[in-house]
Amino acid sequence: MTRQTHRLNGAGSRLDRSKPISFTFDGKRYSGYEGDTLASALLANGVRLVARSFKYHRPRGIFTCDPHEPSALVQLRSGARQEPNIPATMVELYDGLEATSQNRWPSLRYDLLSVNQLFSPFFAAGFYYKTFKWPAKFWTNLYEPVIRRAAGMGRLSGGIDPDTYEKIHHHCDILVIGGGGAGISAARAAAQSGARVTLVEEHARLGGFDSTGLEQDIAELEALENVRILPRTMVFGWYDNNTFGAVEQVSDHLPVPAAHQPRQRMWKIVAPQVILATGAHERSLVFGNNDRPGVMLASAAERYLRDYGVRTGSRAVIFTTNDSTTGLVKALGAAGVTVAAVADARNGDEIETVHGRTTVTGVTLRQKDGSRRTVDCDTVCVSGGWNPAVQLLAQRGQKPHWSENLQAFLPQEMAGADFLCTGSLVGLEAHEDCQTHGRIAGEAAGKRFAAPDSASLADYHNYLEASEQRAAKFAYFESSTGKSKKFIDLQHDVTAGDVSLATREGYRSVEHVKRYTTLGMATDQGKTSNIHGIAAMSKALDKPMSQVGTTGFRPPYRPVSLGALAGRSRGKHWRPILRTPLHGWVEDKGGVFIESGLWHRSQYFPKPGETMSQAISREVQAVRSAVGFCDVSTLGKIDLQGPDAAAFLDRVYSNGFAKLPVGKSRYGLMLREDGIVMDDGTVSRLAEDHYFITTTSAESDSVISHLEYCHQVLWPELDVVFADAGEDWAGIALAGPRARDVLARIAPEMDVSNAALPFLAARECTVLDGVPARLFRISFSGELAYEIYVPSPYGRPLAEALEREGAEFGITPYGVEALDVLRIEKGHVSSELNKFTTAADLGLGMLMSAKKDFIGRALSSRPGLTDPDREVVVGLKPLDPSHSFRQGAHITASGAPLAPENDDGYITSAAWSPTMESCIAIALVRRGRERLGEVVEIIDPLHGEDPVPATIVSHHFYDPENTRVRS
Amino acid sequence: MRIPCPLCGDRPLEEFIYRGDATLTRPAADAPMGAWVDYVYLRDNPKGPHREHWRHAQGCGGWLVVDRNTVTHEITQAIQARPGGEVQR
Ligand SMILES: [Zn+2]
Repeated sequence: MTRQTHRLNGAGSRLDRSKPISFTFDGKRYSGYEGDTLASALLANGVRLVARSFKYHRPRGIFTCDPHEPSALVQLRSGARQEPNIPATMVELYDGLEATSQNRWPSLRYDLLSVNQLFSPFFAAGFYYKTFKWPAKFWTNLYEPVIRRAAGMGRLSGGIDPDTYEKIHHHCDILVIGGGGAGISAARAAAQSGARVTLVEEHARLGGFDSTGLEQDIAELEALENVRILPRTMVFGWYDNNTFGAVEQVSDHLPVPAAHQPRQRMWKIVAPQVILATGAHERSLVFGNNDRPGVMLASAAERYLRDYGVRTGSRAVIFTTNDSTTGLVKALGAAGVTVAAVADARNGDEIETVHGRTTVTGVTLRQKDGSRRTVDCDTVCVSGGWNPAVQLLAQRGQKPHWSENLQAFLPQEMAGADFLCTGSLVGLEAHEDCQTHGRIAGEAAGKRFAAPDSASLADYHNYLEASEQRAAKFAYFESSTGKSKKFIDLQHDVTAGDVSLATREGYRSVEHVKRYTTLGMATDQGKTSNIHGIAAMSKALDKPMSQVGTTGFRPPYRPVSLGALAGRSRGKHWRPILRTPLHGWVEDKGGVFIESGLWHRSQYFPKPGETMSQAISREVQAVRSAVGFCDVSTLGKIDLQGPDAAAFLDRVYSNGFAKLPVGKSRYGLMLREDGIVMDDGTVSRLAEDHYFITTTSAESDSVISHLEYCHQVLWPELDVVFADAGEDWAGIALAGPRARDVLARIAPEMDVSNAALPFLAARECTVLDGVPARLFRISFSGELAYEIYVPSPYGRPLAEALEREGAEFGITPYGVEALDVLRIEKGHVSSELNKFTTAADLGLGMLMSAKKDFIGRALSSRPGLTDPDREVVVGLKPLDPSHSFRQGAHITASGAPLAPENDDGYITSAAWSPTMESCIAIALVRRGRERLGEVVEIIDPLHGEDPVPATIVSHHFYDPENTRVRS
Repeated sequence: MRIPCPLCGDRPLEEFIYRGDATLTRPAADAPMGAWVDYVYLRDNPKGPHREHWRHAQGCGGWLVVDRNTVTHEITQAIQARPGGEVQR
């Protein structure tokens, strides 16, 4: 364990010295205190070199005290919890923390890939665009492996994240973003109105850059009952209608989350009023080797001293353009750090270059008269002024506006109908200014809450105007001389030379230069650096900063973990599961489930030792020779009533329903308005003004939405109401030559004879012991069959009764695989309704009524849909019954060369038919109905299969005369 | 984005499905093909105010006529599409 050589005695307002903490970095053990960040603890231990840079593998240290740290990115934790690219500055230290440096090989100090620096001409602006043009094979053989290794960041473990993430919705009256001095004042003032106020703060504690003197305000704020404070929470996006996305780092400061606590929590916050107090980011300056470990933002050095009791060195040089460093000079002196020089750009002084390789050893200063001198030092503190954190406002489409006076991009609009801005975001500097204006903003928001439209913003704007007059800033961004690399974007290794090269190569727009150089495109999104890219462009193009402008800002403000975005929707919870009322029964029977949309449907019911195909064939044969039953509860069900119900059905189905008698069912075809088939199903008339509709399982939601549209928007004059009855009824298909015998047993009071209950009969009846049921003599299999619907809770008892009463007739449960084989044998279309086919394509042209208007009628006659060349439904049978083919295989004329223009269609359904003892298929084939009997080739190059010769036949393979369904 | 459903109140975007232009009228049965093509396929793509159909699918199921600015997403009015159901928020 090393000694904390750089820790000052007694200092450090955030530390709890009674709680020492042990942690490791690159396997070496160090100590810190509770309250430390990983960055402050490393600095306290004298560790400066913590990372290698992205492109050139240059040594990098800790540059900021903020979450947008560009340099000190580390890999945190180990095993499945390993997280790459985490700024050491935002990691709250906990006992046992493990961190490793990344992007170095074999070690941080001896990184062999730092030779990349020698090849830096190849990595200059536009590197990606210039390099990756050459032969395609270079991509996989050279670029990918080499660049992945050389220019990368940290690594994921590849393991499954063991932690949980959750989502929460939150509504408040006034949202305050940012818990610095301005935000605290704003929240307190806003709360006076009685509004529900939520204050969101990125850091663990309120107080901003300097919480000195705010202790009392924070305590009073925390005591207010109508104020909710969310610390460790970062607002990453501002969306329409004042909807905000935020991530709370619930457990990132702990070794592992506490029991039942998530690692992170995603907040979706809706607030009619928001006060932005997002603060400002200190910016760097551009000079030679400004990336060396030991070069640091001045405010960061000050905060490490004051909050963490850490002096980053013993001899410091300060390079500044403004007055914000005066406090630092005093603090350094008090801590016993020698201030070797202050280079104030306002006096014409600047740092030309930094000396030292893995740490700062000195600087060359260039004075106003051009003279140079070398100063020994181990720390360089830089302040290039402050960038207001306008990112959230810019996400809303505001173009930040350049203030010549403040030398900064400010919000274009300081207030809107649903937002106010305060603090250093609007260019305020002094604590008192931030707090006073924060209070004014909070009061204004409170007045808006109490009485919208009444609040005057005169005080609010006057205060801002007055303060902008006060604060004139000096324009300075980049040292004027020097040959060493001058970095603009530390995280992406973009230099002043790169920006200048891009402008010489003709790039003029800030958006293009950004993409060409990758400036500001790293995880820190250029918060310390973008301004310097804009300044460099301004200089190179001789255009004012205001005309160069900023790039667009999009969410997220700061990186958001995928875990937080996914929340609980992962693994088996990644989407909801729909189970039918028979689910438990199928489980008990050992049925296998298949996912179909959100449904888990019974696929087949294997007996011991049976393969899947054996089970399916057995189930099919049982239906063909005896009787079977199948869960069809997933079908959409709609209950439709009203005096105009028949008229309504006539308009939404292509075939007619007005003449459907009570007690009868009819197949129905529904089109889209463009003439393409939308769905099919059955319509049964239970009473003069009462219908029961079924839809396909997949389309039930869209059919209901469509019917609602037709009813509410197109024909509101029709007196009809309908309800989605999908979950109300369990449905079972009972099919096979012995189906009537079984039905007689479960509905003993009903006359089930063919005369009393003919094909397509529809009845309301009772089954079992008085269970109300709806019974339809409908067949999808081609056998004598019924669909029986009972209220959902009776689904399982009905299945059990069928099994029991049907035993002597050889009843067999069957799943959707057998269901599909049966319907393919019979030639019923199903997967052929693929959103490309018309009624005529499907062989259902007779269902296009000529006697009425209906949805899709008009456009069905457009030329494209009546082209005789269209692909239409036919059947296919291989010449050799031992051959097979699959869904998706294509069809060509026999002997035609394999070419797209010879594609004559494709197979939409294929199955092994135990009844035909052959593979059979339904296909969409060009001019198919004219080609019955033709031998074609089935080609499946995707599966690498040889062409299979097959004959085009009618797709009604089984009982084409329809005698069995009527028997 | 949030839509003020006249029946359910202010609700988030995820509960709604979008359909499109609410100013179109379904042509008469005997209208020429051109009128049908216009109705089904041809749409303006205005920058600014737009009257459109949304369905509160995860709520009341109602079809709404919503006046939305396609630039700002500001919603100035949302009413029920069904005549007689023009409850407004
Ligand atoms: Zn609603």
